Amino acid sequence: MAEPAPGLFVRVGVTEDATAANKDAIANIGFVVGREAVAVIDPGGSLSDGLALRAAVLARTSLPIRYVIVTHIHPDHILGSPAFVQDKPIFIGHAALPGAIAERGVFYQTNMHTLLGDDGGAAVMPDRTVATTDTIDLGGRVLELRAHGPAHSGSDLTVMDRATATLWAADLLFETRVPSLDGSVRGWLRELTALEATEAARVIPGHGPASMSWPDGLADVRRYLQTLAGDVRKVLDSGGELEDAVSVAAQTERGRWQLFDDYNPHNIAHAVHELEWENPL
Amino acid sequence: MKRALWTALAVLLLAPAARAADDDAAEQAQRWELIHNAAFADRVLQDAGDAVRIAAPDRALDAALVPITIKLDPSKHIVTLSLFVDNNPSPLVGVFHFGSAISTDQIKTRVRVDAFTLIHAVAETADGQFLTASHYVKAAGGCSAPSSGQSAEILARIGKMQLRRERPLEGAAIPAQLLISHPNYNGMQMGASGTNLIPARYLENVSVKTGGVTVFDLESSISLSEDPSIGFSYTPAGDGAVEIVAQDSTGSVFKRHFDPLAN
Repeated sequence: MAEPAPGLFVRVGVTEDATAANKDAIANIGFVVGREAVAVIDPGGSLSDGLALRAAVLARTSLPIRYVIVTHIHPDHILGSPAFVQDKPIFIGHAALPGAIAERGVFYQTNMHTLLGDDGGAAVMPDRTVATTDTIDLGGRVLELRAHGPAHSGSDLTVMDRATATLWAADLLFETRVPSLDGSVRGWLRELTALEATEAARVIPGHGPASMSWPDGLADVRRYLQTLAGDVRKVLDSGGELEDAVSVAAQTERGRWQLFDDYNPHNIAHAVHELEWENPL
Repeated sequence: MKRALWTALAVLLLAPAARAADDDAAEQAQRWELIHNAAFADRVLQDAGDAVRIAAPDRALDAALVPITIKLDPSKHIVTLSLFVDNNPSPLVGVFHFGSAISTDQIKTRVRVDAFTLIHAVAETADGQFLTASHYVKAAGGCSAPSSGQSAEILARIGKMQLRRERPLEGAAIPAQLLISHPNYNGMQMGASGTNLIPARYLENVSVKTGGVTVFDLESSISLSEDPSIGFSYTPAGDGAVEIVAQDSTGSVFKRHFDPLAN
């Protein structure tokens, strides 16, 4: 575990897709320790991943795990939830998270079960949801929660630890691993701009190093998304469509990211679908 | 033949599809035999050679949005074109019935692909031949996969259409891409309640005419992607305007008039 700010711990995920060997421990997950309680930020990508994180909490503090904050619907962040049910925490997520779990939970669980068997884990419905902003108090340490519009996913939540000026941006920020787009490319760029005004000393990305400086930590993901959207618009404006975008969009970003060819094509398809309805005639 | 086709393919739904990573040629052939018998009964299908060719990414970008291009030989006088994703729960994507205003050189669309599969196209010629071509696509999960997350936007604009056209060379047909916003719910996606699947609601029929002359009528099904896209070329007739009428499985009818392409 890294401790980029006092009492704020990050387990850095590996830059791979989920496998039986890595147990889907591919996202940056962690926890914040206050005077009275602990908040887990993302319970992990599988039951085993969640249990390992729980063990890391217990190794560092005897304070209760009072909150489990789920930053969004994706399996590498949410499927470790059952590991914490025994602690009876309050599960917190974006107001759109319950609907997203309903639509996708079984699909993700089934896929992870195929890979990991009973270690696959599951999503847990949030007890408390955030439509705009909310705060939780860990005892002398307030975490500010902020719900975002469709960006990386449709249920992105970020966490500000005011005590250490640390912004936990989760998957609104990618470094090293190519961003994956499952919300809105325009929305993601908008949310980055809105987030940029946040005063913070450092930021925790959902994928990449344990922490980065702020706001320059958002430069790479922003450049990637601007390039993707710009290239796709160029193709559409010149009469091209999906097939034409595949070989050209964001190709200048190749070499700057890992797993590029595993996600860039899907991002292009998503962006074409979104942007061809941007200004319907 | 239309009704018989649908009924036969509904029966075919009961036959389990081979699952992903199925590279077994015998199983593929068996699956196609089932579809072929259901859809074309006693017809003899012949290899299309260069008359029908399918292009698709070998590895899909997004299994719920797989672009397929079918290149046709215009000299063959093709009157219908059927497209199948063999290993989908409902293999028939649709049947295009071509009118006289279409240029039968190329049809494009986007489909859902549930498991690694052969895609088949069958072109029926005016003189009663059935020409087939196939193409293997590696994609999985496109049918039960959750919708794109853009459902709210799509429902808000349901039935909206775009006709993206290119200016053709002098005297040539006009290349066009028709986009119809529609969730094309296939009945296999979980709803936000988490207890019920979203009921199927999909485009069943898309009719395109220019100046009263048919470009094509498409009978379509749940294997078409969300926000369906259809690429074709047409020769303007009459006043050159284009009229689109689409009907979905709930009986909703969507109509749109497009002015002639300006000079």
